[in-house]
Amino acid sequence: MYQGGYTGILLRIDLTNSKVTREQVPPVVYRKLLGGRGVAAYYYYREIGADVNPTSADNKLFFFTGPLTGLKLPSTTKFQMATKSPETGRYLCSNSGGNLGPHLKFCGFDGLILEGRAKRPTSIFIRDGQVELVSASEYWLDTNFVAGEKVRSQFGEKKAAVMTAGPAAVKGANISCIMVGDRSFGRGGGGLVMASKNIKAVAAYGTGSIPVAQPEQLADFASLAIKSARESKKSHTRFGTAQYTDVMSELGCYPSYNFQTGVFDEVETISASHMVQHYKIKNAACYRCPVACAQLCEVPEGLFRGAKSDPEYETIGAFGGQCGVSDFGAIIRANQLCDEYGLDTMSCGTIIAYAMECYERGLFTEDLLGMKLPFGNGEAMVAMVRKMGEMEGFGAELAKGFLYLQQKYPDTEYFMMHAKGMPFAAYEPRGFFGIGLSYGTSSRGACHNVGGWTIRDELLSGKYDRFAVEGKGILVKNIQDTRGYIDCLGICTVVRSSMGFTDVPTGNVLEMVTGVDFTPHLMEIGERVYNLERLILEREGITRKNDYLPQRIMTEPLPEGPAQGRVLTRELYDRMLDEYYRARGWDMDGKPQKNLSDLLGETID
Amino acid sequence: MENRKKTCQIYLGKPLIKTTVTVRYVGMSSVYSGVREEQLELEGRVTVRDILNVISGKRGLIFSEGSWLVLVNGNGVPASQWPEYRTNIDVELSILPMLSGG
Ligand code: SF4
Repeated sequence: MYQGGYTGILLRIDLTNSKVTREQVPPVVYRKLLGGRGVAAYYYYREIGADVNPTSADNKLFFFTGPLTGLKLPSTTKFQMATKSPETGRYLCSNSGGNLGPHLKFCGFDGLILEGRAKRPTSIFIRDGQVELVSASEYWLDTNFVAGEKVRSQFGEKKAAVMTAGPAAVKGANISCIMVGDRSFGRGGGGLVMASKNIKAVAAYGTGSIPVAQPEQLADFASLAIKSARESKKSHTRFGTAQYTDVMSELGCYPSYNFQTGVFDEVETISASHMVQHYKIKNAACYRCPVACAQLCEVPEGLFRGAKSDPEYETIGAFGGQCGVSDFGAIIRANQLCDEYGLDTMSCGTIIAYAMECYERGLFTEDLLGMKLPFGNGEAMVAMVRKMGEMEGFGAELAKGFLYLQQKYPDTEYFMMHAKGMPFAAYEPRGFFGIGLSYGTSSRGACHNVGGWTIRDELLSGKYDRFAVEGKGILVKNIQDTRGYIDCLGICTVVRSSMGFTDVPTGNVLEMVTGVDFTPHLMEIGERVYNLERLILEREGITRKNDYLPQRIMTEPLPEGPAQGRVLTRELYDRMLDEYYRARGWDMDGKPQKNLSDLLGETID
Repeated sequence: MENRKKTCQIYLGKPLIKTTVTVRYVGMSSVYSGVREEQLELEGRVTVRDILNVISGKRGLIFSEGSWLVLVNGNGVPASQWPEYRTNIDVELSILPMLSGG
C-alpha cells in the first residue's frame, strides 16, 4: 500500500523476559493516524489500562517515528513518545528532536515499544536490524552526557544516536525527562518510566535507507523547502525561540514571580538580544535542520563562569520571569544542570517559582527548604535545581511535581500553576484567553504546543480580541488539530510551513514520499488523534471538572501592563469550554461521542 | 502651500492636529533600528501605515505582511489593517519580531 516513508515494522522489547519481537503495524493505522503521536496513542489505547501505575512494570514506553522522519527534507528529526506519566498520573505524549528517531528508521523500524522491567541496569543497542541488551551498571548513576559518551564507546560507534535517563530519573524524580543527545522528551516524567524499567540508555545506529515513492521529485522539492525554511526563519537562526521573551513582557503576558504579574521588570537582561550579545557562542541544530534555532551559550564571568547550555524561550521563562531571576548566567547554569541530571526545565522552573512564593509568604520556612529561597536569587535557584537533580532534602519533594505536592502541602495549592498536574508554560492565560483554554484542554495537561499556540491568531489575524472568549473554542480546536497531524509527521513545527503543513495543508510532499494521498485528509487526522487521546483520558477519569485552570488565573486580576485588570473568570472560561466541546462534538461533560472503531472506520484486532 | 493650509486651519478656528507617537522598538527591532524608543510627531490624524512609512524612512525597517508585529497601545494590528487603522493623537506603537510558533 505504501511505496515509501514507512518500514511498516515496530520493534517490541519485553524487558522482563529479554524477548525481542518484530511486528507489522496494520496499514490502516497509518492511513488513519499517519505516524508519530497518532500511532503511539493507538498502541497506548490498546495496551495501557486505566489502573496501570506509571512506574510499574505494566507501564510501557511507545516511541514512534513519522513517515518523514529521517528523510532528506528539512528538520526530519522528530519522533514521539507516549507513556503513562508519573508527573500527571495519566496519558502523556511528548516529542523530541535529536537523531535517534532517524536512526531507528535507518535500522528498519518505525517504532519501538519497551515493556516489562529488566532485572538489572540495562542499555539497549540497536544496530541495523540487530538488538542487544547490555549491562548499564557501570554508568547507571552517571549524568546524561557522561553516560552518553560511555554508551557510545560501549556500542563501538561514535556516531550512534543515544537517549538516556539521567540520575534524577534513576533516583525517582517524577519530572525527569529522557535526554536524546542534547534534545529531550522533556515533559511529564518519561525519564522515570525508563529508569523504572531499569533502562539507562537506548542507542541506535543504522545504515539502511528509507524508500520513497518519487525520489527525484522529492529531491527537487527538498532543495526548495530547505531554502524557504532558511529564509523564513532567519530570526530563529539569529535569536532562537528566546526572541519572544521581551515580546511577551511587552504584551503583558510574560508570567513573572509565579504568575503574580505578566510584566517582568528586568526583562532586558534575559532578552534574546542580551543573550546573543553577551553569552552566545554558536548555533546548534537538530538532524537535517537548516534553521539551527538552538543558541549555545557560555557564561563568560561571575559566579557561573564556564557554565554552558542552550536555553530556549520556555526555559528562560521558567527560570527567568517566573523565578524573578534576571541573571542570565544563572539561567544558563540551571538549564545545564537540568540537562545533566535529566529534569524537565519547564516543570523544574515553574515548581521552584511556586516554592519561592511559598517561602516569601511564610508557608515554607528556611528550615523546611534547607535554604533561603526568595524570588530573584539566581544562586539559590541553581542550588535548588541541584537538590532536585540529586533528589536531596526538599529538592526531592519538589521534583515529585504538583500532584504530589498538592496532596502533601494542601495549604499551598493556590500557588501551583498547572493543569492536570502539568506545570504551565511561559504564556499568561489572562493576557490571551485562548491560551487559557489551550492549557485547560491540552491532552497532556497545561501545554501551549499540544494544547494549541493561539497567540499569533489572537493578536494578528484581526479576527479575535485576545481578551474576549468568542470564537476561541473553534480556534483552539483548529490549532490543536493542526498540531495533532504535525506531530504525526516526524518534522519540527518551526519549519512546517515551508512544506505546506498549515491549517490548510497544501502541496504533495506526503504523496511523493508514501504514494498515498494523505494531504487532503491531514486536518481530519489531527482531529482523530485528539479524539483518540480524549478517549484515553476519559478512561483515565478525566471529565469537564479537570479542564479548569488554577484559582489565581480565574480570580486574580493582572496588576499591571497592557493586560492590567484582566482575569479569566469561570463564567468566561465556561463559555469558551462549551464552544470548544461543541466544536469537537463532545458532550458538555467533555466526553467524546465516538469509540475507537468509529474513529478508525473499521475494527482492528 | 503647506504653510498656507496650516494658517488657514488656524484661521478657521480649527487647531492643527498633531499626532504624537511613542515608538518602542522591542527585541530584534531595536537591534536593527539602533534605538529602543523615540517620539515622532506627525501632522493630522494618521494611519498606522503613515507612521510605519515615517519609521521606514528614518530607521530603514521594511514593513510588509509577515515582517514585523505592530502593536498599538498593546494590541496587535494585522498588516491588512495598517492602511485604514487611524490612531488616536497620542499613541504608543510597538514594533516586535514576528511571532511564528510556540
Ligand atoms: S528549528 Fe530548532 S528545534 Fe526545530 S529542528 Fe531546527 S534546531 Fe531543532
